[in-house]
Amino acid sequence: MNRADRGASGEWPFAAVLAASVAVLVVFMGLSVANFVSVSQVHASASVEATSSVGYLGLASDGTLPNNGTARAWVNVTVLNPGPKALVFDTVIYKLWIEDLPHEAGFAVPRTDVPVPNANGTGVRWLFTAYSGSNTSSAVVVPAFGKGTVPLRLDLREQIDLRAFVAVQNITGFAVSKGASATAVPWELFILTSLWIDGVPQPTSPTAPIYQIAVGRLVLQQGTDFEH
Amino acid sequence: MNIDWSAQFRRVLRILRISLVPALALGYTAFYSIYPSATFPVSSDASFGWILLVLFAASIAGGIQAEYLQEALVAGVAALPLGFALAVLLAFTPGLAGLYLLEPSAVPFFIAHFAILVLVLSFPVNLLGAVIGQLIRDRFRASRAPNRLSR
Repeated sequence: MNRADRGASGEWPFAAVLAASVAVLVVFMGLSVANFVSVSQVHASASVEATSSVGYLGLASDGTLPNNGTARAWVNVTVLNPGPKALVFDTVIYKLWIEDLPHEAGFAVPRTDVPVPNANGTGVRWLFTAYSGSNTSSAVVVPAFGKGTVPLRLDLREQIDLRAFVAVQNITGFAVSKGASATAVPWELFILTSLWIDGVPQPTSPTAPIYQIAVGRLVLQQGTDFEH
Repeated sequence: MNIDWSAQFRRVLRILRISLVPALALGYTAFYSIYPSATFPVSSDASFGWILLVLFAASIAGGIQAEYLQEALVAGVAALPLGFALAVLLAFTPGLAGLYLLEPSAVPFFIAHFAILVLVLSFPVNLLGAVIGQLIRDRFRASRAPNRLSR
């Protein structure tokens, strides 16, 4: 009879320690996996839907944009969150390009445009960056299994950005001269937004690897950044 | 030379049973150390004290199970690859739900890279815990022996 067989009747305390240890560790792992999967779900399923429209305030009687007018863009950045954790908007980076119709018509223009291949690949569109900036103050919450929207109202006036305003004024004026309205000029929108996942704290250690920051931070994009 | 395969098999099973708790602890702590903000307990940074506590307690609980010190030490070493495999499996769990955050083939290397401290730490902790577990077991047995004789 070996020592193991001899002690079989007195083994129950050790078996109890084994069972309790396994149970505790399995619970810890179960909670870890549940939390990890819910964070992964947010990363995998959240999406952004941004819309924009541009209007002109104070148009002249002939439909052109006067020097005291305003080009106003409304951008709604909506994040859809089918995941089980809430999100909080951190930063919304936006860029709005106006299609430079005079440039495309062959006129020399005193501004720097971005060449973008046509959808059918046969030609080039020229785009001018009219709006470019970021918003970090919204702190809008996107609830779990819900959606949240950051509404942005962006004004472009002569006093705010002379270079961009003059370009928009020139481009919309060209459209009006061709019989179209100022609002008919096409725009392109690019959105890059970051959100914090609620309940996922950021690392405080200065030596924390980058991926640990990325775990609690969600970056979503819509459109193409033509300047990169 | 005759080898009693049945006895060898039972011995391997017993070692696996003993290494179960340290392996679970290593898998859990390695996973926790990589994703402290998305596991349990949720924290901004991995707590070294918590990792050490879990590894040490589990290694003692494992060491208590062994009949002999040699068996406890072998189980402590066997817990390392088992725990690593478990940590990899935990990192794959979003994949089981159809979510892939990492290229599946990269996961083992990712775990090995970022949990290296826990993996290395668990080796001496498991051996020390095995020794302490054996001491506790022997003391417990010694305390029960007079009771048996008195019956």
